[in-house]
Amino acid sequence: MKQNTSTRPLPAVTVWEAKPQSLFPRKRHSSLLSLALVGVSIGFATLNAHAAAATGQAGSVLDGQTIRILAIGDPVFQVMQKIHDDMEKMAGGKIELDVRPFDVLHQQVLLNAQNPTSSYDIIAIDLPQFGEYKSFLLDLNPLIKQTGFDTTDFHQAAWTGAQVGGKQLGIPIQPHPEILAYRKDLFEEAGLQPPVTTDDVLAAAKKLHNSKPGLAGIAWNAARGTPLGQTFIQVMGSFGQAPIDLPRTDHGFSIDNIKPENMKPMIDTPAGLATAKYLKALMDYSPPGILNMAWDERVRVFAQGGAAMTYIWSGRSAIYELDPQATARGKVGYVVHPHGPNAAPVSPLGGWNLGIPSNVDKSRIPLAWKVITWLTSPEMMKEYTKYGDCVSPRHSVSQDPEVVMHCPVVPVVDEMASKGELADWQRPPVPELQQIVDVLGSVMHEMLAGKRTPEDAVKESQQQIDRIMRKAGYY
Amino acid sequence: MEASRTDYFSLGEPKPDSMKLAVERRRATWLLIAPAFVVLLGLNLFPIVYALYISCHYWMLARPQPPRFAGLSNYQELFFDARFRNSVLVSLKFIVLAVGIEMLLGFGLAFVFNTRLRGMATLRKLTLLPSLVMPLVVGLVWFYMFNENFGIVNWFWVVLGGTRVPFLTQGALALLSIVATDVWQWTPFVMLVFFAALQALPEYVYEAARIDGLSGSQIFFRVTLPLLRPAILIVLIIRAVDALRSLELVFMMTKGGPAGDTEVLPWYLYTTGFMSPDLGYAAAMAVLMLALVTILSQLFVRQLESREVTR
Amino acid sequence: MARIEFKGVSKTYPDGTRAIVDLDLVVEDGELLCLLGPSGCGKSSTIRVLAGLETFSDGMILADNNRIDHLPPQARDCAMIFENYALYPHLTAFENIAMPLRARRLPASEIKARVTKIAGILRMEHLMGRRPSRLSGGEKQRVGIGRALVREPAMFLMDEPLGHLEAYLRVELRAEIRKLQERLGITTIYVTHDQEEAAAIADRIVVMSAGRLQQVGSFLDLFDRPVNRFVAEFVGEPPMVFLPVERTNADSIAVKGVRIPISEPLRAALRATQDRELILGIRPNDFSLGPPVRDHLNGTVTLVQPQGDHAIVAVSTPAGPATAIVPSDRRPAPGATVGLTFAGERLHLFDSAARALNKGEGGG
Repeated sequence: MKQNTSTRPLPAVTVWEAKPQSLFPRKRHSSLLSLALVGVSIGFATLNAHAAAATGQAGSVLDGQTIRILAIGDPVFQVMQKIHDDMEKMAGGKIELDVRPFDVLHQQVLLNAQNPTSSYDIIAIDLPQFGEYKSFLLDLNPLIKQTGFDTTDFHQAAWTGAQVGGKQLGIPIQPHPEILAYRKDLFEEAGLQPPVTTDDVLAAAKKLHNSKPGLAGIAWNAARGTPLGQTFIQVMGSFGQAPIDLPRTDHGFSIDNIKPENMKPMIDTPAGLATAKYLKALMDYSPPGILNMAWDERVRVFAQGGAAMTYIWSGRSAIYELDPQATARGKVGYVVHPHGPNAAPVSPLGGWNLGIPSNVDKSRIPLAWKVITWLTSPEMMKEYTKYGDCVSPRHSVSQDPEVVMHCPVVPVVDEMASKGELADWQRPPVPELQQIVDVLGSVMHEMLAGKRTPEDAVKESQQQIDRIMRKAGYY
Repeated sequence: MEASRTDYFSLGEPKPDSMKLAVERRRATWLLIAPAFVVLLGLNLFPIVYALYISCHYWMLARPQPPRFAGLSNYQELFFDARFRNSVLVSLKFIVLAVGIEMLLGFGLAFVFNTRLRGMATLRKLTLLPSLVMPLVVGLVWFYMFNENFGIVNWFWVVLGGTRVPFLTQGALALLSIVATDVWQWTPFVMLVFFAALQALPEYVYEAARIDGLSGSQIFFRVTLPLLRPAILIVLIIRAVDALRSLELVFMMTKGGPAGDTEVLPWYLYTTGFMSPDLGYAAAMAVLMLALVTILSQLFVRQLESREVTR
Repeated sequence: MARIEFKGVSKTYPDGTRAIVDLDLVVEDGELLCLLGPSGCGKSSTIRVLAGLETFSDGMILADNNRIDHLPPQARDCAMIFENYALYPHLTAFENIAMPLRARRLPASEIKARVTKIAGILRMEHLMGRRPSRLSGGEKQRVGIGRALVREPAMFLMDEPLGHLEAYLRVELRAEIRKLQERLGITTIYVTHDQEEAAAIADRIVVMSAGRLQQVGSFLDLFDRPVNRFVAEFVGEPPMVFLPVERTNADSIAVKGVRIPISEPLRAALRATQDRELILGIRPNDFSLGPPVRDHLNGTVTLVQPQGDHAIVAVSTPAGPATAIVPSDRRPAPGATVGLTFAGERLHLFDSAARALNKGEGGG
């Protein structure tokens, strides 16, 4: 079924969670209960398209043909669902968009790869999944050359993240980093500077925590399992350490050629311990129920003014930036993942790419490629930002005033990309990644709940992951 | 006198003819049953055998390599796995608490509903609603109800002047919250079974009991309770096995947190088998869990049967 | 052991049905009294009210001159035997019998001794370990009897205890019940719809109909001196024959113009009433059949049922159908014309209100 690879940004962690989630973010709290019922029992509601006029001249993209896309319930594809009818008009054909929760998508991609002929022309691939999918995907380089596709407009990290062994296996459509969002108004009031280091975060959190009724210092993922496990390795990246013993490069680590000896866990390290201690320290300035908080709730607490800062996958900022009722709307500043001592500022990059299955019917390749270039075109990228996808992997779109107005986070991310502050080695594409995340998500939860010391927690995690690697036969 | 009478009616030795007929009939019966039997056997047995097979292999779904025989190493590893031990313990705690409270509450409610008051029938139908909702939805609803930032329970509590309660993030409380949710969902079912059993109790036995001079409490303990024993055992089996297997509430509400205090066995199994995904290890866990379920249900079934036999 | 008295007891159901109407009845200490009547006559209601299983609307019930009708069943000290046995299905025969003693929290040793003794009396020691589902009907009722006997109650109430049993078992068990009752001398009320059973077992019989007490007395009293047509018809098998009569004179009567000779007491009773719509009652045994005689009551034989030493003969007469019992060797052939004669001193006369004219006398 599904393999490791982490759950990336906003996506639902699992099959069941995904459905309600697609509806929740933009809804008010009072209607949650009924929505939960409706959401699960009925599934995705059909959202009416009230989209604006087409920006691009794409009438000839499909030319009456049908394109079949297998995708994930993440912002960009949810936007596509929302404006589906308009997109079909623009493309002049039928767009069959199958949106699946994370685990189901993963499973279907693997099953589809076993078919003699692929049932889909285009599939969505999560950044850490390329390692796993490499043999099932078409190398897009010949098509890029053939059609003169301009690659220079894409963020460097997002573009190269879709490469394995010199092959371009995907085109970025919704890659985004996890960054730190902070309330500019509150920081100004308190005379605080935007946080740069983890110590800055702690100091600001301490100062702002409970400075107003119902205001916590910082919201973050401390829920048991994947949320906390990912948080741990992503924060550890900001302390300058990858979860396994990857070869170092000038700017970080290399994940191009991971060898068995690179699989040694690196949790019981000074960086690991510093991470554990940092997370433990955050507990004092966190909102209530922090031990059960994950992607969805942390953004919602922040949006409603319940926290002065939050870690956030940048695309998710649309949840409050596009919601007129959100307290945080228009008052948020963004910075790269604050770093620990002697470490470089670096935000983990994740998110979605479009690729073509290698077993697709040869005759459909030109059409599939045409659609990919259309869906990832600057015009469409700009269109997505209007409807709740605050992501742009293209420099040209990121500076567009209209885009900036909808999504203030986009130019910030664009700048991070230019400065080389986005990286993907925090979650190396190895099959055991989810197991690493799972161990950390459970052991560190015990640490946060006060059942282990940070020292004990890193030691225990190290041992458990070491056992997993030995069992897998790496060393 | 009784014995002599039955002798008149005993059939004696069957005649050779009828014996031949019986054999033939039995053969035909088997022939007719055989296809269904084979299918059922295959459907029931194959997954178990397959699980046993997988549990003796090292099989990571995420890796391209085929399963590798690993002997009993998965089981050996389980034996030393503190997380596994913890999850079994949490599961048992959950079963004892949830099923215990459900039984007591359901039992009491059944007596309340057994009174012939106006409106009871409607009320009875209404109380059934929770058990008609999918457990996942129940988990989701209660997750939001108990949520510390948005939850309605905490909201009311704060309005009433209390301080926020960490329903889902404080060890013992988190387990109790899940127990409460399970109780909310399943008490009506338990109540209904007991109610039906109560309705089926013969009135005459109670007349006899009153004539025999039994007091109210004596009637309850000497008549009602023993007569409800089969119903009690059946509900216990259904609920205990169901509670042991259930992972939806934990999945929706705590993911096993805080610090594993609500990590029931099925949830650990789920994360191992579906998230990691270490199929071999998860299969070993599944086999042990199957053993646990079997032992548990057999304990009750034996109780039931022992009664039937001596009856 | 008690003397039980019903004083003006009435029971009316919410729907207006009157189960018991103004019942006055005394059951003497140590007596075995049968309540006899067709189903729905109120006999079961009467003992259920006495037991406290049902409430009643009016009147009072006394035991040894103390009111007991306000007491719960537990406090009335009556043992009951039910038609459907009402055994505890989850308990062995032993435990079923022991239940009244357990209710009284007797020491285990005494319970064992007493139950064992009862089992001996009822000759069912070998059944003590069985649950009711493994007992036959007769065995079940023995357990039911045992349960009633074990506690030596103030009264026994038996609600058609043999109703579900086979005929030969009924005969055997009723004798046993009578023997035990005599030995223990416990006041007993026995409900049955079977007059033969009542005749065999009872000291006195109460006939009830439609909630009302009709007559109290020994079986012979009821048979020979029924107070009304209902008792006359209900008691006796085959039932009494009724023929409408004309009054030919102040003290003589005729059936279809045929003058009927009657006894002196009956004549006196006849003189005392002006009622013209009288009914003559004759027991089938009191008919004799002979060759048809002119100016006599003649009829055609419609059915002959041989019964061994006698036969039941149905005859169609101008006055209506009649039934006669004749010795087998003198039975007529179906279709034959016969003359009916009957002894004048064994006749019953009922007025238009169905009351017997020769109440308390006649017959004999």
